[in-house]
Amino acid sequence: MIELLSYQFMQRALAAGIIISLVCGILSFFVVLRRLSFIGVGLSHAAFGGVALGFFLGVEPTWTAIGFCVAIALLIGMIKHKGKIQEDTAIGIFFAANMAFGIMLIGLSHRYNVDLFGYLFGNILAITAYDLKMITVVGSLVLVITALFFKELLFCSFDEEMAGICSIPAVPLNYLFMVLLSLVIVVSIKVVGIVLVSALLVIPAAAGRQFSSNYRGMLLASVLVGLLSALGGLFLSYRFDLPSGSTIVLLATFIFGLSFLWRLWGPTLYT
Amino acid sequence: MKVLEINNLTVVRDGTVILDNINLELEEGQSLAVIGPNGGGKTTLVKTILGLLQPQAGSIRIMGLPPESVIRKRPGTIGYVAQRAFYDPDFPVSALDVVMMGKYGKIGLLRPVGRKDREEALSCLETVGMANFAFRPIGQLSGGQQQRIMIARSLIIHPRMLILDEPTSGVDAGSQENFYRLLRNLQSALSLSIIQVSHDIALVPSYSDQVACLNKQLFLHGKPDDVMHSDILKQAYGCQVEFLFHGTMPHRTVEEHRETS
Repeated sequence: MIELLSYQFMQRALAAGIIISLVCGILSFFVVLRRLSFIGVGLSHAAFGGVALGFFLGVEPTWTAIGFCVAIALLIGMIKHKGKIQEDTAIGIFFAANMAFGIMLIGLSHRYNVDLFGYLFGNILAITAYDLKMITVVGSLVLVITALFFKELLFCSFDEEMAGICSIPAVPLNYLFMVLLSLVIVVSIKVVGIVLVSALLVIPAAAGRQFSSNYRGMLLASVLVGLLSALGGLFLSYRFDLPSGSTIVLLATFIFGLSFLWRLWGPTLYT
Repeated sequence: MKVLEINNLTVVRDGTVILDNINLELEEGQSLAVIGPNGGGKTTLVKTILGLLQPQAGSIRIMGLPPESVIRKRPGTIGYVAQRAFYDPDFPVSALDVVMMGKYGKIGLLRPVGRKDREEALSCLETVGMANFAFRPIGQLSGGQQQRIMIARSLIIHPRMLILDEPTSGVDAGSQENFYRLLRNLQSALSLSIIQVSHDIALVPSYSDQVACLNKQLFLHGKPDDVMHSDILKQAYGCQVEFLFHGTMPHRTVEEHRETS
């Protein structure tokens, strides 16, 4: 176990895993409370379109993915705000359109050897020093912004209309949250992949919710579940030679199962 | 001083006239019951006063200012209690947390909630008689208790005017009268102006200084007794409305549903 940590790729994997599970754990708290679980799926697939755009244009895919994903996030937010189309309908449309768009661009660029599989399913053991730097910068930025607006985001999650009447800028905060989500999704892609990143934005808080009936306890539990899944998943994937991204998500799902049993039969925590 | 002035207000939504040339005034410290049938535009009126809907014509002034500027620049002028307390009954917050939320806008962005805010929230819970439930998850409280929490939340900013939209729709009949009495007490203790929108024509008017009947048009604006004795209700509801009186307080209604038109 100790010699495991002496490998540089493993150190980077652990650092990336800790940061991403921490950030996803906190964002998942709001995703679950705002019932936005489907949006993780929608935005991570928007990121696929963005990655393909990067390959097509021959620029670093992370940047095109960030731009593309933020644009789609704002568009979904706008559709929700204008209120003529249901949010889940909008996500459903963009979800399919972005995948199709991505695949069409890959086809047009005639580069079938690009490592799309890496983006789809992620490989935390293959992340570079540059990737880790991106994750650290974006992750810290998102953490700080979320902490600064925590009470307002909480109120908007509870009752958006009332928050607006109580002089809280609910609509701009809504957009802000969508942008934060997009940023985290794009940098998480290398770790757990497009397909699985939405799981990390739902499962930790879904489990945390079962452990506590107060948001403080729920938040703490969400972060812990995220960390435990990432570190435990990494260790298990190394030990048993399993794909790391799916091991992390399956471990998180297993913890959710335990938390559900806790809610059924365990004591309720009010803190 | 007038806390609310509405002049020639017309609101159209999706091509339908919901409010037609409404005029209304409320003096400071007075309470007003707006009653009327479902679909009569009561909630639309509330949303327009709160600046959530834009009128097609006419104006609204709250303490002399249009609604949007009051919400944006003077947090703490209007307290609002909605018909449905909140959306997720399983939301993980305690009663005290919910009351403190009312203060968030005033505390401002980037600032944490302090101990003083917490003490204020506790004293608001005491005002509405819910201090013993401060640490209960909000979803475990009854409909009437939840609405008391919502009143406490609206009181934490020391509003001049309280607006309630069908506040007792999820409250059992036995607790409703207690709820109205609480409002009446708050009105005199805090010299609050209160607007309460309700379809409860039996009880609400007897706890208000003035009554207005709303069914697209605002039919009257006067003292409860005058309204109840007049044909105005019949006009607003489009059917016969009779009252059984206990003294001057109408306690029950008997409606005869004959179409008049």
